[in-house]
Amino acid sequence: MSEQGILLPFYLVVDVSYSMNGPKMEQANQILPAVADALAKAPILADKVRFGLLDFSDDAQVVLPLSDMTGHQHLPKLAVRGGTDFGAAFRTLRERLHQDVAQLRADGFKVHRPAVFFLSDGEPQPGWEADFAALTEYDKQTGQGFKWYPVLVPCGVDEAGRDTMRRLVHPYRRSKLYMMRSGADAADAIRAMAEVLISSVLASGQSAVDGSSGFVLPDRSQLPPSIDVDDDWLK
Amino acid sequence: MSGGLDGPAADGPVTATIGDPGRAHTEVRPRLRSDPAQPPDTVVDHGTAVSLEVRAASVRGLSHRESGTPRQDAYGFALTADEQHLVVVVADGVSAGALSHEAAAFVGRRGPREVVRHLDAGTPPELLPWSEVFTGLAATILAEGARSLLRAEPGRFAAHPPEEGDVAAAMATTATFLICPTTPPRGGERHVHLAWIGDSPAWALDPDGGWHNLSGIKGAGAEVTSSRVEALPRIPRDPAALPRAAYPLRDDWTLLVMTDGTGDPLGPAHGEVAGQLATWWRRPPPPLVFADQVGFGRRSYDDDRTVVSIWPGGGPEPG
Repeated sequence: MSEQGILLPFYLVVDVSYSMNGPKMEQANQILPAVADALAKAPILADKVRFGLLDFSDDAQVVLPLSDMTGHQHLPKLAVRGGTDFGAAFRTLRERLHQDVAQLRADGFKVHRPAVFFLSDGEPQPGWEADFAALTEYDKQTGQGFKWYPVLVPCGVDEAGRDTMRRLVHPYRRSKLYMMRSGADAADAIRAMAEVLISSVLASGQSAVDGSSGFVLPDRSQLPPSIDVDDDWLK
Repeated sequence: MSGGLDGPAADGPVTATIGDPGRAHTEVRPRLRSDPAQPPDTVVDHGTAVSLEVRAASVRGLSHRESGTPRQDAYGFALTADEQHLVVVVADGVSAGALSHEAAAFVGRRGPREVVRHLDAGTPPELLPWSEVFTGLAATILAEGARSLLRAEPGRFAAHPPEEGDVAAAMATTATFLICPTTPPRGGERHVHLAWIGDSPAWALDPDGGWHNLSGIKGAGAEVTSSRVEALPRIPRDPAALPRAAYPLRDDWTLLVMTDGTGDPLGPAHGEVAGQLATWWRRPPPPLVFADQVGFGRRSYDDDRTVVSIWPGGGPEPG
């Protein structure tokens, strides 16, 4: 039984390969201030939410460590570099989740399963599957795998392949895939995905306030027109 | 101990906090209740019952203050005609029900009277027919609740009056009762009796600051905490199996019956919150200070809070 109250950790992981250069990167850099603004207006939810930002290309870096988003005068910026290695992102993410959750639990918080929004605009280098499995697989019976696996919400724009991105939806019943509609503007789609992210942060926080425990994604009807959602799982 | 009296500004109001108060405690602007029929934001009581010193406060939580929704907690007490027993109840309206504050208020108003009726008729506390008390309260909630629902949603119930399931979905509440003798038996300890439905805990606080649970701790032993709460007007199939307890109690201990708005941050009662509340409540504080302390700021705890405290040994230390 924790003594410090509940916390909902959210992470945004952004592809910063060279193809993201330009308006897409500008739009991606608007996400962090938008999250901070939304939480600034909702102190009750802000007290329950932590937010962190990672980027990845050939390697992955923590841009903003998991934080309560208060008092940040200067939010860090993303910058493009290198290629698209999902495996690097998954490895760094697993490390961070492991450390962050362990630390918060040691501090006495009751930590909700982390939610990760994963934004990419291209096809990854091959060979990421083992790192994905190490991040997401867990067998409750035997305790094998990563106990604090996240709810992973893939968000794809531009050249991101629907089939590849769909494989990242985890767990199937709790997550969804968000994809740019064909013909839409990629920067618009990133802005729309930021809205999905912020709605999810606020709705999940409110769910915690109401005594439910759950990660909430916005309803299909609330989606901006530049993206669609793939959530009709036949499983 | 990092608890204390910190205000949002040096010359601002001073309010109680324990640890990091979070942003909500200073930033939420409570909405005034729009309907005078809604319960007040905060209610406070204090007084003596023979040798017992009593404080009670029910404080609207930050999330209800922000949304302008009613406080869903309530408390009540009653004294037997011979003034030998004080009966206390706290009730925590289940947040999913839009009218749960009414169910909690019914329990606060009628529950102690109902128990006192049995005691006045000569039933000793250890033989109190609790299943009858809870069943009777459930029936009251169902009857009164049906009328409330008709008033609240006349269109929906124009053809068919509300059924029990409709009422139970609209209003539900926990109830934790405590019966405390007002005078100690000669040369001995007082025997207190408890009975409860739902997760509003009762605790005793010893003079060394040690906490002793009298009713079970929410989430203890459960790997995954469930938000499902046992609550009136639903009664278990076998109401005789509802939990009850009896304890001997020394006069220098403090008795506290509370809703989970206080019980949750208290947790298993060996952390920062337990230490600070023990410091504050070893002896009875002034009533308005008590109410402020019940509403202590602590990050991410924004539920309604209700505590009824009994100091069997009487009032504050002299001097």
